[in-house]
Amino acid sequence: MLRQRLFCTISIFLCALFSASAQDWESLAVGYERIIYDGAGLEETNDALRAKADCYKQLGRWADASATLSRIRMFALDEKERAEVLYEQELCYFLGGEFSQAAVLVEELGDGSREALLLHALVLAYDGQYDNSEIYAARYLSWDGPSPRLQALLNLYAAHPLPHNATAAMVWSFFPPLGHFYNGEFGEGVLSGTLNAAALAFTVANFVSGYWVTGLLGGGIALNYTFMGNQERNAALVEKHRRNDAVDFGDKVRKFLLSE
Amino acid sequence: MKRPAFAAAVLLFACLKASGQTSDLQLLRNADFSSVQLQETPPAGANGFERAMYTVRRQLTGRDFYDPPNYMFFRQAVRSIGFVPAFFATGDRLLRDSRLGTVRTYLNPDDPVIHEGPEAYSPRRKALRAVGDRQGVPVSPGLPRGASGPAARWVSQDYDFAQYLIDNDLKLDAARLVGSGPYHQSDTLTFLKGWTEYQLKHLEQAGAFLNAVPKESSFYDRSFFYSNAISAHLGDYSGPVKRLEEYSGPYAELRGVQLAGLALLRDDPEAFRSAAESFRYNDFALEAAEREFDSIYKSRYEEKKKSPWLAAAASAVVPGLGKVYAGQLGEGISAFLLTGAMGAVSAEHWLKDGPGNWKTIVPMVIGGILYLGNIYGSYMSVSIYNQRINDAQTTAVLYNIHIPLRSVFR
Repeated sequence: MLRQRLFCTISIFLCALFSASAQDWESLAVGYERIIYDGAGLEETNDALRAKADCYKQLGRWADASATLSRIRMFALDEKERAEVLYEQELCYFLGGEFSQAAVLVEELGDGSREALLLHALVLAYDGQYDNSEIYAARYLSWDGPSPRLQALLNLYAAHPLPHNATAAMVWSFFPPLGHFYNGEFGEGVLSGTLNAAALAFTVANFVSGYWVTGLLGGGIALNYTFMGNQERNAALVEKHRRNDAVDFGDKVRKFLLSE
Repeated sequence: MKRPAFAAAVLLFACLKASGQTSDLQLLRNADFSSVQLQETPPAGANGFERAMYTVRRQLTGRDFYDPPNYMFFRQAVRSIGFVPAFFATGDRLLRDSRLGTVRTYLNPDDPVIHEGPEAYSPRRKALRAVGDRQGVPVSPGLPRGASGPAARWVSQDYDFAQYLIDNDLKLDAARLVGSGPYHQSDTLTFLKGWTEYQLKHLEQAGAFLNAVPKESSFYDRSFFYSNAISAHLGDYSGPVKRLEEYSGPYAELRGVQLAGLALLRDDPEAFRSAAESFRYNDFALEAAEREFDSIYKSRYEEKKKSPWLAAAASAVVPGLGKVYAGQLGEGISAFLLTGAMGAVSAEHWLKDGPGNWKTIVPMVIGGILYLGNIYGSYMSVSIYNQRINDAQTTAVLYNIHIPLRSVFR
């Protein structure tokens, strides 16, 4: 059994030796999986999975990397190793754009290293949790003592995007185009306001002129499209800003923190 | 002993990798999250008017249930089926494109749009689809050869490992293993390459590899029947028929099932009856497919079909009735309400302003287009309905050509 294991390990190593020169991460990943398949023990399996996840990381296959890390038996790891695995997992979720998933791991991982603080700050900024992100970012900058860039960081966070309130947007949207203006879309607001005014004018004009059927059916259909469309568009704009503004701000934070 | 050896190997791996590894900081610096953002861009190929319509459309309620959206549809329809039919087809499309109009249509939650271009209104659609029966899947001129030299070995040593990777949903790893491993060329290697590509749904490559497994191989029967199913999925019906007719192996009933399915796909009732003679209805793996094929044959060749002319006449009498006859209840109600509303508006202006007033003419013209579009759409609905049934049957046939193989070749 021992001879077989040694043979297997050495053959994988030789395989990797040749492929590593060409940075063949895919073959390396297969090699690590073979170690697991060949009946590696608990610790060896965990090491192989971590190494395999690292290969996927180099390939930019973040979902595969996080899936591989989730196969690790955490109960067999010590405190330090567990923190390393959680860090890798959070990093992979983050790089894969799964910000909410990554944010779930923030508390579990804790704040034992400077790298973790940086990652937490970024994850939370992209997830729209600006206040918590600011705390981690400040602690990251002040890791080695007071930082001269702290004030600039506070100024950056002071200008974080305000999350658009879906309820407020809906209330404003009852008075087109105020909902669009609330969402900061002035051009679209003018268009929506014009469409609603035209539909309303058409309806009122027909009623005033005694064209009840046209006013009721034609105007009703037109207003249904423009007024309800205005509400739907506002809901979509809130969602768009919620997601896009957080990413834009996250990009700024990332640029700032990594510009040291 | 073994732990230090393993640790040393992992350590050496790490050293080797470190030379070209990208650090976490670099990864964080280079990350690009633009794909996470919600992008709003007009459909590709839209002209100025269509871009304007896209901007206005976003301000109106509802959503586009059809792809391409209505403002893109007319121009495509003119190109595809001519100006006049495009005019009426667009009218019909406007009546159908609503929540009510699609109420009985299944929408995929991941892609909740009906992909239906102007070709749905083309009477030549069926003929065009028949042309899709391609004459043989292109087999790669040069399949990758196996390795040679002292480092090469036989893939049969790793057969179980490859299966393990596939079974554990590590298909890309399996493809890497059999695709670039240092293996001698062998039938097992060809089969495994085909099998892995099949698992990855790379059907053309899978078909090419599985077709290349020779008769002498123990994987021949499995490769043979899977490659036939793959060819059928790729639209090649005549190639597998030819191969199946020459087959004389032990799976005679399975051969009959595949031949019967291919006969249905080729719309050849004679060939179906001949192939169905081998049905025994007592094999657990094949019985469901045999009964399904019988049912499709009966529905397609023995039951009466709906008449497009009757649908058009019904819609001429009561707008939307032809759609109901065609099985599209939601579309029928939607057409009735919209056409009726335009009719009521026209009638009011006719009574108050007279027939020559523009206030009467405008709703009448719009209502007339919708009315004629609805008649035209009802006529086409039956053909679309028949085509949908045909498509559903084709899907069922392809499914039943393919799925029993999993039970037969466990």
